[in-house]
Amino acid sequence: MKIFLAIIFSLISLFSFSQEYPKIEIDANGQKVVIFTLEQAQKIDNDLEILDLLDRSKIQCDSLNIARLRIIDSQNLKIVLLEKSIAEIRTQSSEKDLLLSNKDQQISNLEESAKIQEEQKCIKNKQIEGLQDDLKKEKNKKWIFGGAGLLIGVLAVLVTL
Amino acid sequence: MKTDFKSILLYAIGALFIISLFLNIRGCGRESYEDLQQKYDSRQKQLDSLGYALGYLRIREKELVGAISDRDAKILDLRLQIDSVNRAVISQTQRADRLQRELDKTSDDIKKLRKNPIKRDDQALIDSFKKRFKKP
Repeated sequence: MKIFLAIIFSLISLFSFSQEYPKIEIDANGQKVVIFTLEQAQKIDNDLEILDLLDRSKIQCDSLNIARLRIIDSQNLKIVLLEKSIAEIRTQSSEKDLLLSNKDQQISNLEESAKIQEEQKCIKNKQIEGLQDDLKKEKNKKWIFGGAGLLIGVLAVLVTL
Repeated sequence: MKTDFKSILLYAIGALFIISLFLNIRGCGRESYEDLQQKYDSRQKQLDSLGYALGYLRIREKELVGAISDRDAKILDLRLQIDSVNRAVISQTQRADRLQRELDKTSDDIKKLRKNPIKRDDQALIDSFKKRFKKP
């Protein structure tokens, strides 16, 4: 009897070991259930854990992409602003060059004016000198001819007497 | 005596003639007042034209100074905008670095889980499943 029982239990256990999991069974409530081995359940649990992490990783990748796109947008904006800035600085530089040349022209203009004014001053001095000479000459003439006329007149009177 | 007076008179007239000649000849070589005035007027014309040119140059100078000043304001505004963008870039880079670190950590966690899978036993395993399948 013992031997018989041992054989039956061995067969049952053999039968049970040879069963493949997962399998679907119907429980006492008539509900369909899936049966896994512990190892399979642990693998599923681990895979689900990895899936969660992959989901999180996907979200993080998306966020990182958005952040990188924002950086690229900002850098593009910065490039545009820098280009504008360079253009403005170049234009300003040419304006400053024009201002410098304008100042140079003004300086040469003023130097030329000063030279001409100096010449005018010389001309005026010459005119004044000439006029003073003329005046002096006229005075001398007045004295000389006046005196001489008087003298000649006296002499003429004396000659006639 | 009469002859003497006559000759003196003649001498005097002669002397007067010479003096007059001398006075009139002296200064004849110099430029006339009118010529000098003409020169002066010609210089004055040059001076006037230089004055007009100077006036135009001063107006142009004012325009250029105004334009340079306006451009200074524009450049300053652009610099402020660039500074603001730079600050935004720094902040965005910091955020991206943080996200990268988080992503690296998650990737490490995934690698670790692949190398050393979690092996929950009994109730912990059941609780883990229950937690996952809990209806939202």
